[in-house]
Amino acid sequence: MRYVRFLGKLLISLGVGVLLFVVWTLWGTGLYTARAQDELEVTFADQPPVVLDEKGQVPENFTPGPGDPAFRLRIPAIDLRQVVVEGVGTDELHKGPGHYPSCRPGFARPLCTEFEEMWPGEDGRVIVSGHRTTYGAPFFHLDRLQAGDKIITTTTWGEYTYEVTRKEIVPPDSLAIAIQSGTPEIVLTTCNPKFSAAERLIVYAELVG
Amino acid sequence: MANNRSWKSRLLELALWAAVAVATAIVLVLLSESLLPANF
Repeated sequence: MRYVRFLGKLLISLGVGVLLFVVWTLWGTGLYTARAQDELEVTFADQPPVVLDEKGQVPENFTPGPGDPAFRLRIPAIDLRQVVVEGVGTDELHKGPGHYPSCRPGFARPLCTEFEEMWPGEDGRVIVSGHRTTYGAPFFHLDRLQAGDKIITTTTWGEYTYEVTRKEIVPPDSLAIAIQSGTPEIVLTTCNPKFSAAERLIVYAELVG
Repeated sequence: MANNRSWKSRLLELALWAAVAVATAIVLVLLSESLLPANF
């Protein structure tokens, strides 16, 4: 009887531990992200403006470090407003959506691309990855986006608006989106379905202004 | 038999089981950081 009572108490404690884990994962992690976003917002606002080169491209010496603010992302259709950080590693995505970087000091494979890094407004694919379930879940409602919805990026060199063209669901290990397209577009990626990492949801949007 | 235990003893036991629960949660959080994909 004594062992049964002990086992019962142990199982209850383990169950409470699992509940605490769920509460932390779904809501507690969001507190960390909210605080990080507040700090990023201040840092981003204080950044000096970047001057585009003679071809209208972002200069090659613009290379934010891991976790540094890259640009601001707004999607009115899903009430999203976040500062995007540089890098898509675990630590970076804890702070907010991450901009897929080129492979350079501070960024290692497979969390970077061998292609030239693309920034909003440029003739190429800007790739942004974000959490769907944890750490504030910035891309929780990404599946609600429809063709024509606006995605607005604010950088230190200007504001660029993209329009959603299509959505796609791919296997989680698919790297096809990391290939450059030559089209001025932004691609948002996140886990799919909600509360699962079985697939990846991709939203494509083209530059309209 | 159990009714004869002092309140201090009961409180100590409660604290012990609470510590087990918190430790379980911490282990799960640490495991999830390494097992879940970066953008989960």
